[in-house]
Amino acid sequence: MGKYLLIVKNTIQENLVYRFSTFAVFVGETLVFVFFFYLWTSIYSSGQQIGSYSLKGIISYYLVLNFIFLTTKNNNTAWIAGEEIRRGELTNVMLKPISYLGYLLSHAIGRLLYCLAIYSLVYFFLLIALRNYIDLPNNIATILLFTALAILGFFINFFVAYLVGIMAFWLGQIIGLNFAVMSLVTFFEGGLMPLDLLPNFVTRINDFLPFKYVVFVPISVFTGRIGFSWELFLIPLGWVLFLLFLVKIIYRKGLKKYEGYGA
Amino acid sequence: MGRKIKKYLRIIAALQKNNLMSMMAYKQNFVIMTMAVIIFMAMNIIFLQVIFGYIQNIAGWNFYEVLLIIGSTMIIEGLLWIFGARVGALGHLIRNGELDGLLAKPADSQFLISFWECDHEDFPRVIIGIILICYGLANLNLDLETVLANLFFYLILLINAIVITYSITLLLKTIYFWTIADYSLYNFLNAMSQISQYPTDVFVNFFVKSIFTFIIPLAFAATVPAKILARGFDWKLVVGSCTVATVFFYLSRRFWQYALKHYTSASS
Repeated sequence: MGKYLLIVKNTIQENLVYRFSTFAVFVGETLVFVFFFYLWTSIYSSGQQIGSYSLKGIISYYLVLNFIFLTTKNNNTAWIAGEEIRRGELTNVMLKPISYLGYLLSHAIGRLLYCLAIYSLVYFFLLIALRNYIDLPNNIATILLFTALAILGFFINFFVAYLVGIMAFWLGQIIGLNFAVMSLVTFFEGGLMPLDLLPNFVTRINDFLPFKYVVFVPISVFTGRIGFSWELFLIPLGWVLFLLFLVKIIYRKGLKKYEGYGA
Repeated sequence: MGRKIKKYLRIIAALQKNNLMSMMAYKQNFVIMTMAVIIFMAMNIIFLQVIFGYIQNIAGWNFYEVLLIIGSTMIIEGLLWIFGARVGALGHLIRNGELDGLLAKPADSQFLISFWECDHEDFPRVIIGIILICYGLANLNLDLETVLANLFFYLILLINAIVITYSITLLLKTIYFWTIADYSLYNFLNAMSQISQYPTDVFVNFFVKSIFTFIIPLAFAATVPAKILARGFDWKLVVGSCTVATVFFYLSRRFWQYALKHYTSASS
């Protein structure tokens, strides 16, 4: 456990070196949010409405979405894994007494803690500034449930990214696969728009996929559109365990194909 | 002058050929990348379709007019990716100290870096963009004469838009000379292309509108050309677009030269 904590700590320090990166990502994501803020305001001020969402509801959705993209989804696990496998650098990790999954997970957790430290502060002020435009949760239970779901979402997102990354055992290059999967996942998790705006058949497909638990479900809990139920918590937990099982099997299979050239 | 143009056209052709050859070495990845680009485009169009299932217009733009904007974005970015990977080479050339070799070549360094790497898998962007524009135009009830007249000015503004988008990209990428920003700059560019897909007329706030018109001139990147195409000639927009394109190209060139002066190589 101690060695993994060390990786977490190192990742945080590493991120502190690349402050400019953090800043650029933040400015980029914020520009998108500012744009959507005006887009929705423009639509609603001309008397139009998107589904059952009020202007407050839709702005809240995109604000929390922004937060999730900057924290639980803000790691490039797929890319790191893909490159390390392609360049044969995985061998360096294999020679150490740590598991590759644990190594990358510690990396992602370090990054998450770093992002949380920065963006919690930014969002604290943002929420106060925008309090008249958004629906804030009015009780601690909602915030706790949101936090628990966001953590489960972090793990689902991580395992999917890891799965894409270790496809490098078979594909060599995963840039294309990563781009394709991310486009689809962003859509199915509710990263482009709230999922309850989509036609019914998409919702039905989505019930068989884990992605909505990364973005849509946590946000809807936060904004009060979904109330507490045990399924809400147990289904994503089931997905996390299933994905953990799945990535372990696939990694073992991939390792048999691994040649480690370049290392 | 003529000889110089010929020389640079030959360089572009040679770089295109080299890139195509190295890409074909990984055919499987090329196919996956092409599909990925198509999926990405499709997701954006579905988003628009769903939104327009609930509303009639965005800041006065109906569905078909917005298609002209998205189509323009796809053509502009598609061409920039195909011919220069959006200056994608600069980051790793600096990091690996390989930029020196490029600087020593007997051709303009900004020209070389801009065409050095190509992403041919982005060709579907251009094709889907053209299809969307044709589909949008066909549904706008314009007569053929108006369309042809508008198309003339549209093409001029489209060239300006390519220059503007290219200049912003180079201005941003030049930051690599001072800091290793890895994928975060890519993230930033992504944000900009996401915004330029929609009418910038949604900005009613004067301050915010000015920012997106003059400081980050995304308004001229796709909304303005599409506006000319859908609603006809407007000299204010044409003059504005030409001015912003000239100013931004000049700025990007000056910044590039300034950065080069302060460049200390990473290689020995």
